Amino acid sequence: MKALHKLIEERVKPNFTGDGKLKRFWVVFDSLETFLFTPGHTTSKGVHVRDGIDLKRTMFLVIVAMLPALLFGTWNIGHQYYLSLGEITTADAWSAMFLDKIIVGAIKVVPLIVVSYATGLGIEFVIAGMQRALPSTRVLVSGMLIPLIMPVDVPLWMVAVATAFAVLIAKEVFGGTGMNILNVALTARAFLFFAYPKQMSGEIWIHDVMGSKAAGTLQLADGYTGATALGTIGQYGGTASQW
Amino acid sequence: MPASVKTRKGLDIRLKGGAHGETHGLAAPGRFSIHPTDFHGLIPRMAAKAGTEIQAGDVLFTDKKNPEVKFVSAISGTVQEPIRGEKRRILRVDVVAGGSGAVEHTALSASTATGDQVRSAMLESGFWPMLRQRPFDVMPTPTSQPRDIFVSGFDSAPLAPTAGQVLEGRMEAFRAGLAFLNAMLDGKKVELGVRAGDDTFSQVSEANITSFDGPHPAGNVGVQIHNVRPMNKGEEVWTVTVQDVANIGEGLSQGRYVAKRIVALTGSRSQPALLDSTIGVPMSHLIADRVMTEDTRVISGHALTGSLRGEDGALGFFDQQVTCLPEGHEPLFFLTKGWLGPGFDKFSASRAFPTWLLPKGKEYDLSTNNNGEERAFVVTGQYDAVFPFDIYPVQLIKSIMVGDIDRMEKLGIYEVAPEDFALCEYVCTSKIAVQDIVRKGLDQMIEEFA
Repeated sequence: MKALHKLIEERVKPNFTGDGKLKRFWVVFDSLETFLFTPGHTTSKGVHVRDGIDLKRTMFLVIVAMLPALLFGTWNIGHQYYLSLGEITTADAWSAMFLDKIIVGAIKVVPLIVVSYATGLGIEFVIAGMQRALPSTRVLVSGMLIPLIMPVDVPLWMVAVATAFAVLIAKEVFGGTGMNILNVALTARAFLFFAYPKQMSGEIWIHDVMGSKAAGTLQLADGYTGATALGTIGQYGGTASQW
Repeated sequence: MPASVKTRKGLDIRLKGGAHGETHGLAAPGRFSIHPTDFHGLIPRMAAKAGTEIQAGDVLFTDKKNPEVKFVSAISGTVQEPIRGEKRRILRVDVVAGGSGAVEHTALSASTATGDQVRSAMLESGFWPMLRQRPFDVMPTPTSQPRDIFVSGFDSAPLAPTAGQVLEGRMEAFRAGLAFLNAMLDGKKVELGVRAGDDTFSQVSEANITSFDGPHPAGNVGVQIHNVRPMNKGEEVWTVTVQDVANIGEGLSQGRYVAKRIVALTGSRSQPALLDSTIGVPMSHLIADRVMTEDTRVISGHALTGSLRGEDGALGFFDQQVTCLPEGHEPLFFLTKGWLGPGFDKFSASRAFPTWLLPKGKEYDLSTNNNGEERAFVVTGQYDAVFPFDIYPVQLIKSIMVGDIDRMEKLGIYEVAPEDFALCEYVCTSKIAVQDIVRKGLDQMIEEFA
């Protein structure tokens, strides 16, 4: 690994420092370098030895702790989808079509994660670049929490807008990590709830539930949130059989 | 049966290289040095001119604010030109050994001396700087009257020598020292905290003894004050180290300055040993031939609060230990030794590392690597787990960072010293310089009261 470090120090780093042509992207380089190698910085004042723990490892463990919820959620998206389609019955609902459920779930979840991370990290890097500070792990946890609390059929552009709003208003205006008084992920959720109430309620919780309705195969899940009766009548007309 | 206190919060950092066995006599050093910087806030005024011959016990410099406080030489010799730093601040005063003789003062009897006699003798013969005061962790003023004097009978810091090691053969002097300190307390006794199960002090009747059981920092005098008799605003408590109690006892009863110091040479980069030396001994004299020189950090004091003494520096005035650790300036690849590695070689209070699964007897060879860079101050609850005070550490640190004097006062800044936060700094995931922040907060309080 010494060779790799030498390569980075001698060949890659000069492009980002001094008059290197990529000096504008110093923050990106520095984040990646400190990701790969804990710098050989030694303690300078106060304690002479330090605990092995750092913010990266702490935050990484938070993400590890989220993985079970993420995996179950992925499966559950597919499960609810096929349940609503009527392709699985209550008797074999838990065991059947495991792989299909995961695939459907992944198709919904992966884009959410990608959009949330891309937006969050993008903003973090820009702000860090403006402040000449370091971004690194700051948004890794929020970027994972946001997909976890989004409805499955939420439009991706709404995720991007909500993430941008949350990172900027809930965190950066207060001075960044450790100084925010609002939870970033919940701010994203609350923002969507108040900014797009119509899109955030009703059919959004089960993947393609409208399709199932149209096909007439809809088997409802235990329940779903929706507009008031008046809202439903407004949407579908007065025929009770449609809702 | 002494009162006993059990503390649960804290952490014993198990480093390699503890000093055991016999105490080795060390040849008299060729030089004696005092770093005025060891006494926080002290502005020295030179009393001895460079080039003059002095005897052991002669005054080298005084405190500019309190001229009665004298700092004396432990050896006879020639005073050197003080070593100065920025703005001509005196960093070190040296005496090169030569000549003989010692300044004689009136000897006192531990059983009959009055408080005023002890006080003026301590000022006159140079023992006063051995006292430290809470709040603010500074030297007390000569006219102040403490509520209590606390002595911690054990050092719980990593690799620290035990009370039995540093007081070997000096129990009479130690008891005399306690008696002298008692004289200044108007009928009260010194409070002595001992480690549960340690019978070094079983003969001591000159102090109220409380036994402490628990991990570091149970041996910090601040923890003991907090558990025995917490401090309120306006109260003042003095603290003395055990070795200095013995020095005071021996010195006042013989009428001369005594500055003995048993020093434990510790750490994985040294050949651990107990060395019989004096206050003000040059570090190079202590570590000669016993320390690997390459890539080694030689610390005066222990790994959590010790200081670097610079080229040719001397042992810290209050230190009884030298710790030699490997410098950790190698970058660490994230999957092997770095932040995502298994971490079997890292000692961590966090369960994110396998320390808690490994045998309790395992000792670790920690380097001075920071293990990460300073990051945003996040709330993790780590501080509370190693901070055995009834004080909110994170809130106190944050109030210091924003300079909110009222809040610092309400959160209990009078009771703490930087060393009490050393473990908070160790476990900090964000690598915040906690002790430095506490020191700044205390300085701000001092200014506020000035």
